[in-house]
Amino acid sequence: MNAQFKKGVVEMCILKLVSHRDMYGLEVIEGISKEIEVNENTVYPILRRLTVAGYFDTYKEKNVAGPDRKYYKVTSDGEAYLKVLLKEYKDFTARVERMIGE
Amino acid sequence: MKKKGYLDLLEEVLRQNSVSVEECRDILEDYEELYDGYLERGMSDEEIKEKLGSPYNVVASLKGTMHYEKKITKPKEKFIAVSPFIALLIFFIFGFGYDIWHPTWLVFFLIPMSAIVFSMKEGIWHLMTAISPFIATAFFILFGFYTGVYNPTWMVFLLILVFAFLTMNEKRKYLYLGLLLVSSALYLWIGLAYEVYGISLLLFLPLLAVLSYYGHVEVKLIGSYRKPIGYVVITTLVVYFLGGYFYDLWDVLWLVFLTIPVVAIYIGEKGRSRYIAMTPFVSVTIFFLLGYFLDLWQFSWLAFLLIPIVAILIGDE
Repeated sequence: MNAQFKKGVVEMCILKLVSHRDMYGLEVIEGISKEIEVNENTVYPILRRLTVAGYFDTYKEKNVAGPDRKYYKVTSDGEAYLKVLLKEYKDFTARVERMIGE
Repeated sequence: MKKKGYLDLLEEVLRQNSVSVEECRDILEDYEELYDGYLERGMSDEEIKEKLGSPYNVVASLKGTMHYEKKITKPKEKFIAVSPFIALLIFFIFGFGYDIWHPTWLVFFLIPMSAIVFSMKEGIWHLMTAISPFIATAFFILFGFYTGVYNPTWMVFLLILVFAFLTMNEKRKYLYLGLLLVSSALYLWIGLAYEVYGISLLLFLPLLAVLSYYGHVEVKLIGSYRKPIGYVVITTLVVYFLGGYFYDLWDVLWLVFLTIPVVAIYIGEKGRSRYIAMTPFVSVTIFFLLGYFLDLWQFSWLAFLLIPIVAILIGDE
């Protein structure tokens, strides 16, 4: 799959995944990797970019097994952005489906 | 490569890319968390390294998501960049034009000195402490070369101590300065009046004792790597004075003092950048030995090319 296209889709998937419940970095990576073949160097920069853009908030939580974990939480801006991404994606795939389904 | 090694290298690569301190800390914390997460899942260090990718790839993938340190202003940056060419030009003019290869090579000190002067943010005494080794060495070689008097000219190296004392934030520094001044004056007087230099070095013992008592000998002057550097300092002093006293090698044995910064760099610098930092000292040694013993001043300057070569080969790896 085209790398840029994949990055865009992964970004949307990350937002969707974290919108269900707050997650720490490795959880996000593992959650995405179950369905899509990605590595840490794809997921982590997206997490950072979305945080810098204000679509994620982060907070620390204690971890009995090791150092504190940084949790990601979708902000209201993040939810609005996710809605836009989902709509764009659905419109796009519907059009593509119509074309290749003919 | 274990966790610490991996994170150290990541930090080094982030710093090389001028990533801001805050951002650097944030990324390192995140990667430590990822690393620990994989350790908790029972993965080996090799597997984790494979998973996370090399620190160089990590930093490359983060480009565009990071804030960078403000770069130093352009004129300063330009001067640092052209200083090797200025030094080389002066060296060639005096070398080919007047056959004064030695001690004209001292102009190469311009390179590290300009880098220190233009990039240090600490106060004046810290700056002077950093550049005083170059000033002292230049004076020692120039004065020694033209007068043949290397002893007691070596005392100019005590300037480094003076500036190091002045950086201290405590009143006792005036006691240290006073002791240094009195010891130096007495040493000089005994030396000049009675031609006795060896035994009168003991005059510096009270200063050493006071500094040791207050725990400053190692802490302030040679960083936090007390023992190894302490031994190197003592060894170099012994070699220098024995070689100078018995074999009259004052004008070449000053090179042994270069092992002090080399060892300090080896201990203090992480990863491959330590070899880049050491190269100028290796170059100076090769350059001086070839020039001094074989009179190859017009060719031995090529040793300075080692600096960019090593930096390019190791830095881009």
